[in-house]
Amino acid sequence: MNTKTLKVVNQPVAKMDALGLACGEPAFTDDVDLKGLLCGKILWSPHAHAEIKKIDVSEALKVPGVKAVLTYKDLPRVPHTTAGQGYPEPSPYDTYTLDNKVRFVGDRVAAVAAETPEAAHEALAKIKVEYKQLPAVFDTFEAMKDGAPAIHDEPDSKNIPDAKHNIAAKFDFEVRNGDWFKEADFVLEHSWKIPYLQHCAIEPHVTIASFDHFGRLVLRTSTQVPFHVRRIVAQALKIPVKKIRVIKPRIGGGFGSKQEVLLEDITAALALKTGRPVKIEYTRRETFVSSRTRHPSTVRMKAGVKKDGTITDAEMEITLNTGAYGSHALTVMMCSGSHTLPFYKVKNNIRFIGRSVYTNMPVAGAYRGYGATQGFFAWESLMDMMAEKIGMDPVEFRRMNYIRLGEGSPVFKAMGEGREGVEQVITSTGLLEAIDKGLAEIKWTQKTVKYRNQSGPIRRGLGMACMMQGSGIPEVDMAAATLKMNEDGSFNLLIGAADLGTGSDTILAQIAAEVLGIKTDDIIVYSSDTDVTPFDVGAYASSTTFISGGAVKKAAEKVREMIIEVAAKILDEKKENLRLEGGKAVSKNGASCSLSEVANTSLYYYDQHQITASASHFAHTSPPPFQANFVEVEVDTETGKVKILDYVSCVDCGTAINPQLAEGQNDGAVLNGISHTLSEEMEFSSNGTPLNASFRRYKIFSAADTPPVRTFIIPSWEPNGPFGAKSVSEIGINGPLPAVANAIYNACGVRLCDAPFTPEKVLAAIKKKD
Amino acid sequence: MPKLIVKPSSLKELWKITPALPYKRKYLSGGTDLVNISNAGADDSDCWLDVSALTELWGIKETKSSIFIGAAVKISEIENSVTARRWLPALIAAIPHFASPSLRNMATLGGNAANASPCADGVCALISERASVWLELKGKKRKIPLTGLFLGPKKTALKKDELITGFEIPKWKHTAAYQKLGPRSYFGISKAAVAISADIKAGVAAKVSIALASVGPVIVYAAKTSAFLSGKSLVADVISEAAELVKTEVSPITDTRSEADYRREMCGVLVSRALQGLT
Repeated sequence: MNTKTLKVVNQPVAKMDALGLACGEPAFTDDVDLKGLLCGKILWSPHAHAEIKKIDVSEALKVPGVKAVLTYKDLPRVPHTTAGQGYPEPSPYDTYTLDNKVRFVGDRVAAVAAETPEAAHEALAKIKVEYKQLPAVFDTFEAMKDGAPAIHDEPDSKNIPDAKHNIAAKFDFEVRNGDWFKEADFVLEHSWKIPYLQHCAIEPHVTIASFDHFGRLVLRTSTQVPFHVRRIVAQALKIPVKKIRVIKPRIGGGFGSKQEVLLEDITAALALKTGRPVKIEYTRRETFVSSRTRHPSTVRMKAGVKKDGTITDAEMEITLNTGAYGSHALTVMMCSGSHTLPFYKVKNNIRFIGRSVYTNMPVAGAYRGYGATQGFFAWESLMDMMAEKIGMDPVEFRRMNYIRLGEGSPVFKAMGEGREGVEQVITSTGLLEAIDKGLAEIKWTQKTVKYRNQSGPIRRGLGMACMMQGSGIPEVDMAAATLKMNEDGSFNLLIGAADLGTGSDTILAQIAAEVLGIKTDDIIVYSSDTDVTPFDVGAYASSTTFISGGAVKKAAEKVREMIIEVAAKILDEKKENLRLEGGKAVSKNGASCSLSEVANTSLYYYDQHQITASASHFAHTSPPPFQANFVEVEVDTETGKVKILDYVSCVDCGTAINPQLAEGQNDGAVLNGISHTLSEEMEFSSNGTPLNASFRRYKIFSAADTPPVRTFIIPSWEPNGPFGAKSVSEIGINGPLPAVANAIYNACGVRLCDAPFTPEKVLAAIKKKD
Repeated sequence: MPKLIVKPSSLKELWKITPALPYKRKYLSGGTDLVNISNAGADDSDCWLDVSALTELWGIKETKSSIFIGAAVKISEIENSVTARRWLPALIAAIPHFASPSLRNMATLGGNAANASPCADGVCALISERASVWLELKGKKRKIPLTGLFLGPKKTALKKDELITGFEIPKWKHTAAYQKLGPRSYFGISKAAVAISADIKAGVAAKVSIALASVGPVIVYAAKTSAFLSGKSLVADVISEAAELVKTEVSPITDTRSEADYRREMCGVLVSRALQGLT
């Protein structure tokens, strides 16, 4: 199969909400103004670890305009996870909407709803809390020691493997074919670190809870997972699912943070208490401290290699800091191995040792890349180290070892997301072409020669890194779609899928339009409303194009059959002679009728019925997209400053349903990764208080800092995906850390293993080498 | 933000209304620092006095011996001034490093100085240009060297209600360089920065003045290094000696932006690069 016959798919159709959003249409969560809307605010813990001995809200309630103050005494105590995953979640149930214990600076203590923000703030200041401070622990290795303070010593939390040693999740696995490192000519071992990083979505977390005229709770919320929100709010507040409707409006970026059910439960609780609509919107500081972060990690890797380039053994030990709660603790940790270890062929032995550890620090969660970012930083750095050791070109070494079409890995079966995985083989790959394209674009050969003998303080270098990700979670993720035909030959497409600004509404419409032989603007998309649209797990795990796209394609195919059935009667033709094309049902003999004629016939004239269909999709496989990243850097060896001169990212995402949007996804992911590599890091005082929780102090790269980033889509055809498509949204973020680290080494001979590569660290490494 | 913001149209009016205003008051110029501080909850004033409409604080003027820059002149106006480009090469070299293009349309040199940040790019450049500052209190004017304005981080020698009205920079023939290390291209406060102004004739520096930002409690005027270089030919040995010497004149700290040792080290690198840029 190829893309040549496609008319709508694989075309750069304009994003359907782009113009409206650019013109300021009131489309986001916070763009509605409800009568009687109260302002909700949360009181945050000033302590890293403490018990609430006494809490007195009487003065707070006396503040004029204050309508409710909630503490742990007012709410049911239900252990749950905020992770926003499929049910049953693989994350420990260790979170309570409000608790009598606080576990990090920025944990919830109480919540207030008031007529004005000023009144809410005043009420927060008047809540009297008596804390009993407990010893706190901020380092994962300290936290695992005997006698460390147990952060989750409460008896009712569930699925914590070893609460006494603060282990929120653990997973070990080994493939054994003989003695470890027996065949290796060289054995290399090293550790890599990633700090606390925040998603920095421009729209902060925001939820508005109100009631419909049946008294049902309506949650308008900035989420990636509307259906999981409904289920988890029902669970946490002990109300039936049928009493809740969740609506996801337009979203100003999620990146994983909005997979968390963060504000919906407490906003709903305040609304239920007051009987009034309530809004809670995070400030930027709250977003940094009290939403979610990437799991800070230490990854130790040890691998054996033969002089001929065979990788004999590979061991990865990852220790993640999950912070005060274990959201995604198991799955991010497993994905750091399951997305990385199968990527290169390992001849004999493979071992993975994973721990996610509680500390009295902000809570980590899902973040674009989802463990693969941490894992590939180590694996792709180590690949360069091994290549150097055996005197092989790093590109050749990778070409020799990466997983080929038709090949599998024991890791796929052993490691899934939070449970055993699914056996699979590679059914599409464009990695070879991606590497060739990247080599040509970055001018690898010419520049390698040119930069061989440099002098002076400014040194240039080249680096590369290859990687893969997944497309949804096999045999876990499910999505559904409904299509309904209108008189004019247009269609309503109802999907549970959540467009976060990614453009998924547009590409799902393109898929339906392709099947139905119409233009994308004849599809009216309505997504992510639990009362109206069918189920979808939501936007995470790079699943939407592959899983939701599969559902849309199936629904459209069912509708196509129904249309042809009617058209066959109109045209007095056999069904098998008809096809849909250009807004018409066309017969092989040239006769045709318009889709509006089909619709009108079915709705008004003959054998009346609504042409409509629903379909669901889940997959037994998660075909990886592949990527080859190339970067040219300039290192100032006197100041330690690293400048990226050119970044080439060649991505095989199967068929790009919308090449322009796919490029945009990848450019954004790469820039996000570059910002991780050179700038971003959350800093804390010795008692766990965040020091740079603002854009003033936490520097993300702005437009002015953006180096040239060039994305090239390398087409392949994935037989399991809709029109050959795989995923594209996450993979790009994993490239910059290893690629830039490799390029810095190439430029000046120092290997950076501790992100971000600030001038201070780079200079210190250069001095140490000299 | 205080409930009361007063915007007088002349200095005369300013001095007339000041006594009646709430005691906790501050001057507002471009607002690029003050509004941030206020948003962060660190400003408790009851009144702001907006000086942006005071025409006495406007304009860039040239006399026989000096250049005057009004305290309320926007940085972007200086950037585009022919006079500034001719006579103030250090300031002109610093401006591209100053905040961001959008902030430069609001920010002023008066505000940059009054904020008394040890990181102020504009002040750093002006000190290397050997600027003085004009102050006024209830109609009484005084002029002091710009270095004398700063007592410590966020602390100035300004008396209660005393206003910076402008800067006077002597006209002297010089070339200049500005080197800054920041966290990223724009919107970044420096880890270290250096401004050097020097009158160079046939490779010999007749007069040199070096100022450094973000490496002490105030902008540091490197008197010893400046004196060392004066009269010397800027050859490699001299430059590296100056680079070593300047490290003894600074007193950087470790904070969220950088580390003390790194900053001290960078003073040497930046001074040596700035000097190389001059020759």
